[in-house]
Amino acid sequence: MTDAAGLILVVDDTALNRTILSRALRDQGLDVVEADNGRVALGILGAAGARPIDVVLLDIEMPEMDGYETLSRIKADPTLRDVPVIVISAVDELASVVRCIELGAADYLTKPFNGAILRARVRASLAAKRLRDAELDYVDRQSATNEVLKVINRSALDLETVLTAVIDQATRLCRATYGAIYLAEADDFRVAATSGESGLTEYERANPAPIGRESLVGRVALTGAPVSIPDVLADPEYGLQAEQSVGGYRSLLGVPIAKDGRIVGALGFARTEVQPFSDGEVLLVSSFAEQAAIGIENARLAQTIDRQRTELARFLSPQVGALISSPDGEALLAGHRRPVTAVFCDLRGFTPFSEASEPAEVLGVLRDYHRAMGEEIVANGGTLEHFAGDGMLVFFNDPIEQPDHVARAVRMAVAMRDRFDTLRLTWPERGRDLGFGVGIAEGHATMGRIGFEGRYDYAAIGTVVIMASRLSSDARAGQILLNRRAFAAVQGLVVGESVGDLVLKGFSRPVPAFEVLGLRESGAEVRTLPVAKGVT
Amino acid sequence: MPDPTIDPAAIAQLLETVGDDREFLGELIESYLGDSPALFDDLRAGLAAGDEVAVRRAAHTLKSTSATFGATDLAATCRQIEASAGAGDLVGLGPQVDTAELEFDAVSAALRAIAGDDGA
Repeated sequence: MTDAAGLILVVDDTALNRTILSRALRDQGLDVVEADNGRVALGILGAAGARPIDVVLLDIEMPEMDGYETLSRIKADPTLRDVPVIVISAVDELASVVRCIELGAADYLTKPFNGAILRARVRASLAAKRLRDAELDYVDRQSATNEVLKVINRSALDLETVLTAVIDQATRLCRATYGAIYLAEADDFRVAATSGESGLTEYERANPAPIGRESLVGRVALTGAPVSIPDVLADPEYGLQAEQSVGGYRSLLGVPIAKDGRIVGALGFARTEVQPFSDGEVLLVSSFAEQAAIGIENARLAQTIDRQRTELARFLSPQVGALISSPDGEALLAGHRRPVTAVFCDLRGFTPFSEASEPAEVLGVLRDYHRAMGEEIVANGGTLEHFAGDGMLVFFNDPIEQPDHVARAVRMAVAMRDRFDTLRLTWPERGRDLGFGVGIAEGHATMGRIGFEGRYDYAAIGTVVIMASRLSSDARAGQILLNRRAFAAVQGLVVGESVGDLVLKGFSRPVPAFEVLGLRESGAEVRTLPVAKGVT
Repeated sequence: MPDPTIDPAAIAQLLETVGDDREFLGELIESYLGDSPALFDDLRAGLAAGDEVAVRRAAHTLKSTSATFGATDLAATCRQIEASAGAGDLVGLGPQVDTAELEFDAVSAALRAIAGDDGA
């Protein structure tokens, strides 16, 4: 780490003293900055973005601002009070020593000083500073990590918010003037979140970084490892001169965001001064790259689930879609048996129609039909088990329990019949001959997930499903046929009549069936429905 | 050649502090000898103007740098001037400044000898 040696601020108004102290400290491998009075020293200590001072050597007798005043101000500033101050002065009265120690000086040396003592005192103060820094860094990193995790938890769906939290914390912790997160897209890397005021963001959005050694991100993508560019202006391979002149940056650091060994993005950091990033900062930033990877993965998962829920909701009622995605969903999918109402509907005359029509015409008719029927399914809370061509199987009372499931099924069927009759008139000539038939049966079925990996269906298995399908096959255009159990459950709701015992395929005995003519509105008025004419 | 105006222990300590770099020591001596006359000018101007702070500060700096080179007598004289000026008493400091200047001449010769020795 370049900071390991320590940066010492020497404050003395006498050039000769500064020269001697600086020489002695540099001989120890320490870096030195000088100030000739307290005011200048405070300016250096408080300079934003500059490398922080580790130890201050402070003279007392100085013009502008003396050592006592300077020391008081350092110790009164929360951002500076942890910097050890060693007073080194020719003021050798005991009172001065006591005063400085009381003001918070770490040590007091009198001039002329002994070199060995000076070195020992500076080393001790540096060690104390390092310990304090490590402690503060730890707390700072912990709180930054917690902050990011909180955001990931709270807004998993909002990737930009998550990435902004990551880059804000990382940029702050590694003392960069600008930070950005780039996500891999096709052949280049696009800015997804930034931190720090800079005209760079706009430029970068307009000019995505290509994979290659000419850009920081491109180099990260190429090597799959952290890349530190100490000074872009001294790097012969660095090729984004236009961008450099916009951002004015010099030192750069980039780390990859990897997922399953693939580079999905990168974190980039810039400093406007030549101040190369240390190994410690590479490590620090890498941990944020991990958090970004988690954030990206979470957001993708959340988006996938949300998309699946949206897709489901197009066919199921939204409540059912939500239920399937909920923790209870797994238990429902595992299989269960319960009474359901199965509704099967399909079109009369669809096969001859599809054979005689242009594909576009057939698809257009089917699209209208599916859309209208789908709306009725959702409106009545039905679960669409499947549709194949013109046939649809919808069931009620599962996965959400519906005490009025038969009534819902019948209301839906009647509404579908209404919709179909309106819709049919908008279709081309041949489509107008199509007819709509429905079979409704109530009974027990086993519900759950069937199929195989990659192709699962939520399905109902049982006689009730076959019964609905057979009743539908037997229904004439415009007819809604119910089995006895279903009809018994909705007698108060519908006006209907027996159509006798039907001989249905797969059923050894004739099945009593009933036809719905209309709904009783509020249990009194009878609304008869026009029976559509069509091909049987 | 031992010289009573300069404490050899102080020179040895200074030399050790700057990594036994005799050439650098020579530069420090040059710097001290070059800067000090201006401080004497400040002392005299301060006395003439009755400016206690200016006198105290110039004496303090001369005291500090002179002590660094082991100019013990000169440093002691400067300390007295600094203390008097600090107490607001400039009366009778003229002769003390004269003394300091005489001491400085001796110190200069001795330090030049040390710097010259090193060069030889």
